[in-house]
Amino acid sequence: MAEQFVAKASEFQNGDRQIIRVGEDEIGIFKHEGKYYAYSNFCLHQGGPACEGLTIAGVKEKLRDDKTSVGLYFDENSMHFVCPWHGYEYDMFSGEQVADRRLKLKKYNVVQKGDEVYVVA
Amino acid sequence: MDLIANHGRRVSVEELNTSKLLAHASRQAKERKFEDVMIVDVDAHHYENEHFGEILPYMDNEVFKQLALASRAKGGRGSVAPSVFGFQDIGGRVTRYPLRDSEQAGKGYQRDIEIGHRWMDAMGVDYSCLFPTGMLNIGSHPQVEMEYELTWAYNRWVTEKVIPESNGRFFTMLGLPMSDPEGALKQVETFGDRKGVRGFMITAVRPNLPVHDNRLMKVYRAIEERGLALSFHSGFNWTDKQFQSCNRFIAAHALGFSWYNILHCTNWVVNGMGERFPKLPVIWIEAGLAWVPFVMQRIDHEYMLRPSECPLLKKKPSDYMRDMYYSTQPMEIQDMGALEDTFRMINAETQLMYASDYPHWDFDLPSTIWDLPFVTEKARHNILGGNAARVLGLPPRNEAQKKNLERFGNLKA
Amino acid sequence: MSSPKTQTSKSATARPALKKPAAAKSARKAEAAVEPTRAEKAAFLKAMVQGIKPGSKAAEKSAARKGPEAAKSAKAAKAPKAETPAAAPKVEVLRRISGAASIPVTPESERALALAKELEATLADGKLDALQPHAMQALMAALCKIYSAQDEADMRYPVLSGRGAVTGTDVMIVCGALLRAVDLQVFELGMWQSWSGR
Repeated sequence: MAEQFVAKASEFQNGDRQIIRVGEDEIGIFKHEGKYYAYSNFCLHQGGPACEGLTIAGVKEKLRDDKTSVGLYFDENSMHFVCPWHGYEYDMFSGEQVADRRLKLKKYNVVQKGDEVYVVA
Repeated sequence: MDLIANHGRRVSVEELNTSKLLAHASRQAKERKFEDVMIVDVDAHHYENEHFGEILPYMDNEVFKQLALASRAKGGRGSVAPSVFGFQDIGGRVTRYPLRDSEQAGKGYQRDIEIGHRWMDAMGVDYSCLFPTGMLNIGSHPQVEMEYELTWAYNRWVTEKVIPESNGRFFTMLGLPMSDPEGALKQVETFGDRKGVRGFMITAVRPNLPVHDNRLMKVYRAIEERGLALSFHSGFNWTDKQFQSCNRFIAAHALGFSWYNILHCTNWVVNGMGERFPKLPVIWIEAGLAWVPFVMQRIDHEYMLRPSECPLLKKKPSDYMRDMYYSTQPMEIQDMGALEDTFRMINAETQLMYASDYPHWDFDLPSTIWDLPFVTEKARHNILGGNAARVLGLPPRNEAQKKNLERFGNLKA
Repeated sequence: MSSPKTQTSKSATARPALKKPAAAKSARKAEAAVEPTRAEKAAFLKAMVQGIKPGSKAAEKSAARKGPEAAKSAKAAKAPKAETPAAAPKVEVLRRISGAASIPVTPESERALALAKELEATLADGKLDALQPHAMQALMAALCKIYSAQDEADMRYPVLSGRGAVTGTDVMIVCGALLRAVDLQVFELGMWQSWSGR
């Protein structure tokens, strides 16, 4: 495992992403609310570019105590990224597939040294 | 390009380039040496509604042509063809829907050919059966005449423009105006011998169509006589009676695509259509596969108790179903054991045909078949292209493919 | 038309010779022999979930199916990985995807943000009299006029940044007060909405 340079932190804004190829691997590095997250860019479903699609909050449904539904809403505490091929939806914080959290994208560590961001791959 | 996420938040994405989007599919094709395997995609799509300007002038009847053209004129507010409610793109999560316009390619029908070749090359597909998208709902049109006119115009356009210029890589099974048996027969007679026409298609979203109607026998006979195939392409219609309680698109979509083929396949089988047209290859498209064992079990069960209602049958309904063909997509791969049983029940090795359904949201890559752990090498080759090559008479595109077709008995002289 | 690439992509290029077709009977036998075991099927499922790890047995097996060259490189992939784990692979930037278009900074917006923060703090501290009525009225009037003018000019956006910004009760109290202030009834608002489609 070696640290691979990704980008300058000062140029990496919240909401930005970078997709890099390291050897045979492709890694997507996200910056979300000041933190970096890095995952394999190969979707667990059919191998699509998992990190290159829409980022969107998770959808939840609120129930009242009597089990009736209040309706759907975006959970502002969550953030998902979605594989653009078929819509496989992953949790930004863990890389888990949100429909079956046993499925997880390979996660990479990201380190910042001064103004430089590295991914450990 | 921006996409809209939650609360109007905008997310920037690159403009669409199909080759780039499918770069990982190219990698899969290269790793698996798909260039040596003849791959036939029996179900791919284009968006013909983007070309109505080219298609509608092919309409025959001047009054309907004027109606259709006027509805599309600037400021016109009419609607030419039926459309359905739905969210295939899952709110933009499947980005190629909202980004379609951003792809750089030629104009008019050339654009469809160019983009089509991009995805075929990326996946390692040799031939694609090109189907329309919106016109799959033509069966919901309230006017029989308009159904005839629109299918006529599309069938002329696609056989005179799109197919001939696709380098021989697109073929088609043309949609028929099933509400008008005479008109359907005329279209089989007119288009049946055209280049690239390998069969005819019934858009299955027709809950009121009795496929066994006596008036339709001449249509099936004309298709059989020409050595062509008949396919049923399924779809969904959220507003159909039986789906009106569905509050989520997933329910209307998941059930709809299976439902219409379940309905027509059942009527087809119990009415002995397999006995009436033994040489007509029938292909059931885009309903997935999970429905097939269900229908086999269900009808066989009742057939044993009520054979008097199906006097034309000389064997069990499931035996007739095993004589027919099925397209793979969307292949339910959640329970591998169930899928393996399904393959066994339908004789997948000789009866199953790969389909991508690209560019629709739930497309399948050839690797979904190639990587299955329980299929033999022969089955793998047959499903990906050999069966379609044999049934639809498609030639190999290189020596290695030819050898593979010969090896598994799929080369049609 | 269609690019020349499409014609040649799967057409005759140099490729390894295929094995001679075996006799039908022995071929059938061979097919039966390649029927995977339960363990192999389980490994496939695992691989579907986790992806095939380079250098693993599964990778070798899948490469073996692809041909001798791929098998060689899959085996080779295993050796250097164990011996020289620090070997730095080449990094290539495939894409940079920027986030939302950056928001232009205007001095008025900066001051408004600072003021909003300050006012929220007074609320948190329970200083309800910090913002006196005349100041509230001036601020509310300015916000109403600007939001409405922007809306008329097609500069449309949600009036609040998120669901958690204010409560439903907050909104009902303020909307009710605003309607009363201009002597409007709720049904008049409803009528206007249905006419104007907003």
